[in-house]
Amino acid sequence: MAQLNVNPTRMELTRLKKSLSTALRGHKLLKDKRDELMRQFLDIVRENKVLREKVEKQIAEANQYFAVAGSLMKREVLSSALLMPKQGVDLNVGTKNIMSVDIPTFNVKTKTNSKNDIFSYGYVNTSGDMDTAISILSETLDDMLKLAEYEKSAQLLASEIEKTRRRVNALEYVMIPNYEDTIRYISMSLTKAKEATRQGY
Amino acid sequence: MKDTEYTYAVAYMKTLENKMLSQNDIETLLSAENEESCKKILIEKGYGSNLSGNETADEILTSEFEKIWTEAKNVCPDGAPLDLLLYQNDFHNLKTILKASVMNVDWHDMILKPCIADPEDIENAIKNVFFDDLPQFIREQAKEAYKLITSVNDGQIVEVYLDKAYWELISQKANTEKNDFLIEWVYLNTAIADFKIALRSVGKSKEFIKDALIRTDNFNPDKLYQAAQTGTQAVIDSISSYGFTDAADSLKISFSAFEKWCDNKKMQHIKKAKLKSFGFEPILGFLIGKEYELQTVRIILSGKVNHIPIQIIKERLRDLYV
Repeated sequence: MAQLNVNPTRMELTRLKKSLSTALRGHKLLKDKRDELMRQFLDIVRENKVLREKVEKQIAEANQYFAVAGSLMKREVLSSALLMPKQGVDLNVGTKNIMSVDIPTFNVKTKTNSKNDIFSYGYVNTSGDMDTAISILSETLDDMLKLAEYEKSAQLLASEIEKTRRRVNALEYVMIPNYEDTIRYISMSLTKAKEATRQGY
Repeated sequence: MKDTEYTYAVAYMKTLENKMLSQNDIETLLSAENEESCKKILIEKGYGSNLSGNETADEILTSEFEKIWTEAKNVCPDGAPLDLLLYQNDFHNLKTILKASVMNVDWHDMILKPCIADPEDIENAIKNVFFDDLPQFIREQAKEAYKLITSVNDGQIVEVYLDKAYWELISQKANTEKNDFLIEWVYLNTAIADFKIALRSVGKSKEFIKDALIRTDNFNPDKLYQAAQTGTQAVIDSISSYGFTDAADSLKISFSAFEKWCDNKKMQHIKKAKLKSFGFEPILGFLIGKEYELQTVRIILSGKVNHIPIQIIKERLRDLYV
């Protein structure tokens, strides 16, 4: 049992009762915030899982095609073919507010929209497997950025949930019990003082 | 040059042919546990005999080709048109150095050797925008490619231009040599290159397709040009109309099957050289055959390193020269 180091006066009692009421209201609000953050976090985590599995599958597939292309072409030819990228990407980074957490949003714009205009090499000495690998990676770009958005959001939300959870716990297990104990102590002290005064008369 | 002038060189090449990898050796490589085991098998077969033994598999393959090339150069009489095979490396080096200069990156580990033009000379020519010191066969192409890359800043356009320039040059050289084997080989290569270009250019602009397709005295790509603007099926039909129905059939399976067909078709032609005992053809055949052998080994090694399923590796293995 812990209580605050205060003078057992009526004024203090009134002030502590007000603080307790505020703490109880704050506790309820923070609990609601934590629950909502949790709900949003779980939604993001679920979508993140699906997207990560999809992206990993696509990257593994692209890597396999690259490996096959690498076996059909000399290393020097493969490196040279990819030396001067053709496709350009503009990335606009914004933010979105979820329960007072600023999470990043990515908006990608490619230099060319044509699926055929992304290859940086001639077709005579290069393997068709390289086209497949690059096409897969190109299609994966949007998903990869979405995944980065989700993963960062999940990290930020998790950190905010942790902070809110600490606040809720601090209120629930420390501040509110302290206020209640102190109020009880002041009330008892005041009752005793009143009793003593009455017996003195 | 007279065919009899190559007698010693051909005899020497025939002895080297006996040391080439057989189908059994390829099976042994395929069944090897990992890249290290493959390396041991290759060393047993004479690969990397000029090296210390600590080299990577890729270095062993590169050195093997350079070794064979040096031997061929030493035994061939002066004036043999061996350089024809090296032009490809020079054109690759030119492309690489041009792109590396624009991107400001180091190109030294992307250079193919042996080559005729010194890569440092190519770099100096690009830096100083002065191409007159380059070998004559690449001078004008280098000048034009430099203009292209500095105006459009597009690596693909430069590659397309240089690939086309290379095959046009080889075609001219083959016609000058008046060697039927060489002329047929160039015809086959340009036709196959154009098939690949047409298939992979579907959906690209008319101008790109026109600029990319290789036109030589022996091969007219007009039908492919029209077909590439229509769609993949039209290109496949067009390939059949050039008399390559088996190529069209392989395309029905997959593009990889088609690429395998392309290499095997070239190998079929190269194998004809084995039957000749005089002339330049057996030497050319051996050198190209060796390059294909190295490619086959590279496919297997890469498969082992990257844990590619053996079925996928087997699907991509090409026919051997021996």
